[in-house]
Amino acid sequence: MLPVAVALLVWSLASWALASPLLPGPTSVGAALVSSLRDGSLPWALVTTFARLFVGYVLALAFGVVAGVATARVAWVRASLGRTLTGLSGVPSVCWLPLAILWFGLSEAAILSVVVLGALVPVAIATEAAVRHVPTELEHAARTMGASGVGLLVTVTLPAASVGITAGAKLGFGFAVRALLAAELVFVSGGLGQVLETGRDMGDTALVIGVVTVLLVVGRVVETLLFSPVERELVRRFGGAS
Amino acid sequence: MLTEAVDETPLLRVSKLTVAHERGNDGQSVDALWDVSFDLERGEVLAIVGPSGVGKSTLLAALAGLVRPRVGAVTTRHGALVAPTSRHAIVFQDGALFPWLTLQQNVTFALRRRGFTRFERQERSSDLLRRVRLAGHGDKFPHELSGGMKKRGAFARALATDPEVLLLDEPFSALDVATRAELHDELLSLFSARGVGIVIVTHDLTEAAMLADRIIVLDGPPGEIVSEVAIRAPRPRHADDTVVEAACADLAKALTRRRGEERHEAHVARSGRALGLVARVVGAR
Repeated sequence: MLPVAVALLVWSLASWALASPLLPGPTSVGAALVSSLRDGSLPWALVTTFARLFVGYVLALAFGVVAGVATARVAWVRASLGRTLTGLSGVPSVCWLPLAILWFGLSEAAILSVVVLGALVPVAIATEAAVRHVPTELEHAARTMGASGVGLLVTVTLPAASVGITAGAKLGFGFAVRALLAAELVFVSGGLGQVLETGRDMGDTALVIGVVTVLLVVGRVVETLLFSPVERELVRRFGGAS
Repeated sequence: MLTEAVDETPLLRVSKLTVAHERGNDGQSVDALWDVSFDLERGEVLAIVGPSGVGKSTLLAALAGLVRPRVGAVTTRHGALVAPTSRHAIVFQDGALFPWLTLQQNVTFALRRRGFTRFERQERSSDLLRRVRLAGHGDKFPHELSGGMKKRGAFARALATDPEVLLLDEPFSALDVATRAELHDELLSLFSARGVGIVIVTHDLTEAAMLADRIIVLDGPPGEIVSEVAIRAPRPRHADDTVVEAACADLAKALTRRRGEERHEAHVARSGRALGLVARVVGAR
């Protein structure tokens, strides 16, 4: 909590000293957030953004894990997709937006496809590496105990790769948020990105800073509620420093 | 009478086994094992020794049904071995316990496909852990266990499938001497005393001579049988027993004789047949 308090203090002092509309203090930012909460624009934007984030991220996890496993295990997929994945990781996902709009029109599908593409690549790359590093002894032992095919994949290969897959999933979440916000900024369709755009248009610096703060808090909350418990559990099982 | 006749058939009959290894990118294959034949009887302990990279682990994988031979076959009492079977359990060097499962869950994993109820699995796994002296450790994860405990956990998991054949890949390396001796005793009492045939791959000649009824020496690559030593002395044996020392000397001789020939061959190759040397070097990688 102390670093947060220090940051708030420095911010307050700076805005007081500058006394410029370009750097509103924490209180004005708080007031802007409260007023946009009251008029319903912020809650609605939050719901919109979160619904997109949730659907896009879940789809990206599913496709990413499947793509990663296939790249690691299926020779012809590795030959065709292996290098492509690395290449794709160099393309900022928002670059897909114009294409997505041409394909899907100004629709949710266009935004969603950008989020999925953005988050899928790190998940797939991490999954591929994790699956390839699963010790063959584990799978061999399981096969002599009667496991095979999809059962072997689900009960042995994926759990054995879970540490790496979780790292990819965490990375993928960041990618999903970035892709979504970028898409929402470009493509006016509700959500926090649009609130940011509106804030810029109206010269409402307090609102812009407020939305960024909200994103920061959301990132912290997801980390605390979702990723930290998973990582703690993995450390408890696999061992290692927590 | 009939049952006795059945009991006489070996647990495993390995005949003219040649196993190819896929090599990296070009998809070409090189033989890792060459024309290996032997039988494994009920309750017998068979050791396979030889230098690293000679195909010992490949042989074990073939006996588990994990790799298919290019030529020859592994025949069990139930017919030709074409896929992994729970009748052949395998224990690897570090035990290969599943790190995300507790010790008890590791054992129940092996029971899952045997049609027991949840309660029976729990009962049986607790019983198995008691038999390997790990009662009370069932809730621990593998990283919380010592090397010897991991190995005993792997024994319990192997026992769970009620195997006819136990395959061990360098199971006792990286353990201290006292733990090793304990595990040797447990291996014999848990498995071979109950008629389970054991194939143990090791590069430790003394260990082979202490445990085995018969020792097969592989050399290569590709790995082929260059010598076979039978030891008819009761167990437990000690490292300084005369039989053990004599067997070790025989084994060492079998291995060095072969090495000598190899040096000679290499010399011949250098002075003309370079291709042979190249093949040998490539094969050795």
